[in-house]
Amino acid sequence: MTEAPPTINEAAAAILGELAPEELALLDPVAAGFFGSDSGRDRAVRTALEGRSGDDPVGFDLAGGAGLLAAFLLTVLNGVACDLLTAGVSGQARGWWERRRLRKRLSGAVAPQGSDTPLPQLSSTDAAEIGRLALQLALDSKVEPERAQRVANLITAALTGPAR
Amino acid sequence: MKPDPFVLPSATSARFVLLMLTTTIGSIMVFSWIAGLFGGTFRGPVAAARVECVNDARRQVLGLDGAALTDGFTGCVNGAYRSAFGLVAAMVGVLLLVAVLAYATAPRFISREPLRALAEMPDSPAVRTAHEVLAASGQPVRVEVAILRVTAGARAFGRLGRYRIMLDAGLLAHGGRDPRVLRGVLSHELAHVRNRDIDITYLTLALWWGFLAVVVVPAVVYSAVEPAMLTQVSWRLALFLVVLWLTRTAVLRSREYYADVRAAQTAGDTGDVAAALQPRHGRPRRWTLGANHPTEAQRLAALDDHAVLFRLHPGEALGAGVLLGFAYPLMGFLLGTVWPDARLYVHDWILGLLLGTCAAAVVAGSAWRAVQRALADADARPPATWPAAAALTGGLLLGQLLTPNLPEAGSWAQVLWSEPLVAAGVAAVLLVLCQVYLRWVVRSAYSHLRGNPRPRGQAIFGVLAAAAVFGWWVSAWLKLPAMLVSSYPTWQTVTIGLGAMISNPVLAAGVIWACVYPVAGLIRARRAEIGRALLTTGAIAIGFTLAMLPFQGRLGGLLRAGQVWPALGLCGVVAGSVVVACAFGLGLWRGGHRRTGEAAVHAALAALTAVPALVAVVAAYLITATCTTNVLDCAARGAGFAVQGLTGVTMAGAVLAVVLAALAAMAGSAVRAPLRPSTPPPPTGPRWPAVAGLLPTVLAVAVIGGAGATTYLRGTDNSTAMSPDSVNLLRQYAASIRPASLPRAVACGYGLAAHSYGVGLTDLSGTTWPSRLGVAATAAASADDIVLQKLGDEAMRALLAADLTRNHQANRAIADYCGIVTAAEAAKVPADHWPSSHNR
Repeated sequence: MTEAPPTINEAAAAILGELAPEELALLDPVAAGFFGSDSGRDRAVRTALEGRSGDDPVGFDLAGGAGLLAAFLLTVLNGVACDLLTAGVSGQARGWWERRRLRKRLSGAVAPQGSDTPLPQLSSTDAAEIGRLALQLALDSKVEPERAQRVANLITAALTGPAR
Repeated sequence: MKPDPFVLPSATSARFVLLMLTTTIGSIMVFSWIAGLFGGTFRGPVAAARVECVNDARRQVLGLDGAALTDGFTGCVNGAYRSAFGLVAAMVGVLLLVAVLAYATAPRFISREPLRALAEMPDSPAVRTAHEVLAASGQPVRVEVAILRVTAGARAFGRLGRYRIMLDAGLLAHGGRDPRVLRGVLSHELAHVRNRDIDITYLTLALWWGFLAVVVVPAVVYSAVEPAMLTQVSWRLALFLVVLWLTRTAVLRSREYYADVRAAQTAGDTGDVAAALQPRHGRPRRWTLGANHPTEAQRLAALDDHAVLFRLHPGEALGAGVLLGFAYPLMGFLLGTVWPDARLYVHDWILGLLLGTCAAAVVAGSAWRAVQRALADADARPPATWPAAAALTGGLLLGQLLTPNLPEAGSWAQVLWSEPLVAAGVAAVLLVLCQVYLRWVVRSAYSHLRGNPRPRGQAIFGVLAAAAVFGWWVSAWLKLPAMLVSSYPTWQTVTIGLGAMISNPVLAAGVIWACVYPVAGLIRARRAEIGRALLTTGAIAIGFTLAMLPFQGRLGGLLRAGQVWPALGLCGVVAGSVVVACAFGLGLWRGGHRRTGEAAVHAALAALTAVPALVAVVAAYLITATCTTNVLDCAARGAGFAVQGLTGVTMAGAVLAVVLAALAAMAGSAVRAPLRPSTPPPPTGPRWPAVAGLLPTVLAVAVIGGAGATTYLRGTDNSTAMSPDSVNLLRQYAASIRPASLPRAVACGYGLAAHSYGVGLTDLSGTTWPSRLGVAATAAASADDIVLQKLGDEAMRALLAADLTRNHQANRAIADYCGIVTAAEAAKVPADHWPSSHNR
């Protein structure tokens, strides 16, 4: 009997449970906003990939970038579920223009069953490549290197299917 | 000891107001150009209306006399100007409307993303921490969470007392790991609300965006239609935008420091805010001048040492100077268009009060804060003012360079292009005035803050009064370039311009206030030495009386030779020497280390009080030197002359005596300091004797003020009878009129010199005003243009009748006629718009 592949929500919850348990309470509202509206998803993808909220007057932007892992995970896992982040795209996230195009694609696509969409199970090679892409995106969004590496590893693990 | 940053008001409110005012006024530069008020290629609807005025005048010239032609043409042109002004006002109205709409809709725009009230968030340690901070602050602020913002930021927004704080979900997540960070950020945003930053910041931003949409975009589009706009307006607009941007970000950065300090003060320690500001992973910002926030390192340093909140920074002075120098001529031009017949200086007083006050409130506010720090920290040096004075001067001059050439509103830039050396001299005068002004502000602040348990009200009053003084005297300085370009900038016209500045009664009132205000502070702090100041007054009066004795014979000789001004000059030199000697003595006697300012204040007060006595002594010497027989009768007539002739001298003498006395006392104090350290003055007992001691000063002020007002009213009365010499001169000019003997271009050159720019007509330099008016009228009446001939005749008739109002109107008509014809011909306006052969 084969185990059913995890959904986006399940994979995100599992990774958060490992890395940021304090964010578990936020996952449901964040997922509802992410999959609930195009503008909400656009905002989440933009801030997830840029890592800064801008230089708002009378604002405060904590130096050091992304603080919320949940939205970053949803961005990456939704991209995988929509076949936007697949093996071979890692070169497309280099450079300002490529990142901008990738951001547009990621915010424009939504998995068919939202957060309940099952994740594809990939070969370890393809999953590792997506993991490297996730690492690059996490570093670009100013997640600390050690934490970014752990996020990438856990995403790779979530996407890796049983050995065939 | 660290001073409390919130005891005195911050100077940032004035900076915001100046920014908003200048942004609005900056739009006038573009709108006036588009409306055809100045510049352009003369094709706009308003320009066409003015061309029609010329056409009407040419059609009707044969059937009208000079007076009716002048009235008709002036009314027509004024109507065209008024409609242009209406157009500009409407466009400014649109800008303000857009800004208000942007401000009103900003909260909706900012919150256009999934938000959830903090109270509705699932319970977590971070949410509980946020609730604790809110409860502790007691501020009724709505807090919401942007649930899809990954970043760890927050922002305050809202309008008119209904404020909201938006926390990024990333911040809540971060707060779960490190509550201090969440507390620090939330306290910082609450501090922004408490510091009343929200409305003023978003209004300024709304005006900025409105400016880009309503001014810059149309200007760019219009440049395609009128390429001349690129060379005349666009580069100025671009530089103006850069200055606005940098000034705006600078003031926003200041507010960040205040919010950090307020947050730390509310929390009781700096720990939370410092935790939020700790450098983290990520590339640090390199270029900070254009950023809304200081770097984290700068903010941490400011938390530790508040020096940044108490400095008189040259950058602030530079920004204020640029905005003032840029906005002043533009507003002057518009005011002149709307209200052309105001008395001399009235426009300048209004503009000085409006614009100069905002600029000075920035600088004076910072100076008061710098003094507050110097008083709190015994080791701190008194604030240095030279850098700020140099920056304020540089900013004002730079602002003048940015201003386009405007009719009847000359600028320093025009003097610079014509006579660079004279321009440098005028700039040096400004630098000295700025430095004297800032030293006075610092001195006043010391007088009123020392030992004052409730200094806030005093500081607000002091800064406003200092700002008004600055506004009025800077308007007097800005009048100087306008005066210079109305004839020709030479050293002689500079001297005349400076002399005219002294006859400005509001400026004299400012000088009087400058003497009295710091003394009032010393009386309050029981450090006033009014008795010693009055002793010095007596010494000046008696010393001058005695010092003039050896010169009595020489004075009589000069007067008998008819050399009145050299005689007055001799008296002035002797009086100045006595004032300097007595004030130096006072500085030597009562000055010393850290007492120089007080000595200067007392010496200035002594000199001011002595001025009427000095004038009386001068009058007595003049009378006795000229009356050898029939002494009583002669003295009675001489007294009449003295009263009438010495009023201007009184004004000039008061200003010069005050400045000389203060400088001499500072010199005396500087000599004493290394010889013998001064001791603090003993308390001078009850205040009422000191206040009563000011009675002679009050009388002196009344005399000087009365003399100033009389001089001003007489000097600006347009129906004053002319001297017989002037009447003879004008008759000679009238007799020399030869109609159709002068090309129109030449006649216009002289006509404009009487009314507006005469730069380039060096043969007019040094001439008196009746002569210049006579030349203008004669040249116009001798032109080969029949309309100009009639206008010139009217100008000459008005001059001979000593009706200067009428003459001014005719001269203005000549200037308008010449300006329109020249511009229309240069623009090659099509024949159907410009039937120039129609009535030749």
